[in-house]
Amino acid sequence: MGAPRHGESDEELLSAARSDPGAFGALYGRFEERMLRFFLSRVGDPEVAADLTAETFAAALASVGRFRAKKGAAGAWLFGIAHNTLAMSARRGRVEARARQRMGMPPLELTDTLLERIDALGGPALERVRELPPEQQRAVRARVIDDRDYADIAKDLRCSEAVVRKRVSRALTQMREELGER
Amino acid sequence: MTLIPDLERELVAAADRRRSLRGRTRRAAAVGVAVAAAAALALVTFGSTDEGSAPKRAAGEQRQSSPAPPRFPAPMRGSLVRLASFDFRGVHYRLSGYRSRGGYPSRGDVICAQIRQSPPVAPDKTRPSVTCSGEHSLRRGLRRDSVLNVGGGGGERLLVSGFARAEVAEVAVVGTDWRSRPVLTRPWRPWDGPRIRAFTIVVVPPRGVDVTPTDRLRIRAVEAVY
Repeated sequence: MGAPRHGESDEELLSAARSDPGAFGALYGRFEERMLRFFLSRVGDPEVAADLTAETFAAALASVGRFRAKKGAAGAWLFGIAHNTLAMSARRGRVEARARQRMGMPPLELTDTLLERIDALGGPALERVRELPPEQQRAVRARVIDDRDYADIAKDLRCSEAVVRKRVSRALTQMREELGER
Repeated sequence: MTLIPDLERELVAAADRRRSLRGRTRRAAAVGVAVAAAAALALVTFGSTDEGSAPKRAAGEQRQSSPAPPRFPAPMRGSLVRLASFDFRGVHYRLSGYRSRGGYPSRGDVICAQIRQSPPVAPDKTRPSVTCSGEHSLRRGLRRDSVLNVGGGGGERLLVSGFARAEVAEVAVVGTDWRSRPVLTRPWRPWDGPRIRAFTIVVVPPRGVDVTPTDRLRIRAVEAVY
């Protein structure tokens, strides 16, 4: 199992992963939970979220040589792959397995206990995100679940940073109020 | 400690295999470059002007386009079963169940409950409302709970749907005191396993009430126990 390697940045780990398998393990440890949450918030099924996470990391490993730290953060790169994996899987109606097959990885064995633990990463807050208006949903997902910068999100959504901040803030206030009501 | 240590182990092993393979490929490439350099030298020596014979990629060659995303999970041939029909406040509802290869990311096949209503919600909204669950998660969910609320939505009338174990005789609505009608279908077997039922709850909010997402989330079906 990979050691956490606290002294190294995500980008350093990803660069080191080309020749150091342990670095990729450490990177997986850092992003696993965020990635599972990201998929859970979109598909709502822990089993599918786990498969999509596995496929994303396998695809990242397959193209780790193409990562350039100068072009962007490791997180943005990984979540870019996650978005592609999700889009491709949605098109095919099945979770992609190409990267895992290419890397010689067997299908994941998921026990009920493990699936319950993954499911627990979701909870009522994630359910509420799915009910937000589309523009607020996109902003909250990008900021809170995917952990992206406001500037990066603004570029993506073609609006100003201030607008993104406002959308996130409004949505979170509304969610807090509604969850508090229950 | 990660949540899925098996995945971490597999990734590290795959990274290790990849590194060894790259090492071997590099050595082979170095040998190849040396052989090619020697061959080129030989060609220059013999005064050949031949260019590489590899076929060139046609300019403007198009990339294969991806298939369009399916709109919703379509029934597998022969799997569509009529399960129930009922009337509620002037609208006729028909519930069917089927198995599908999927229309959204899923590990395997999905089991769906489809609700058609006539007259439709609006003249341009004639498509049925479909609620699906992945086969694996549905099996797991029904092992844990006797009634599984899967999806909900709607406009003037809300629909909340899901699945239940075959032994459930009746479902009750919780989370609202608005007019509602829960309907549990007859048991059917969409898979190689125990029979299940589908259910739907039709809820009619009072006129002028703004239905919030929280209202929708509160409405659920539970097994009626007397």
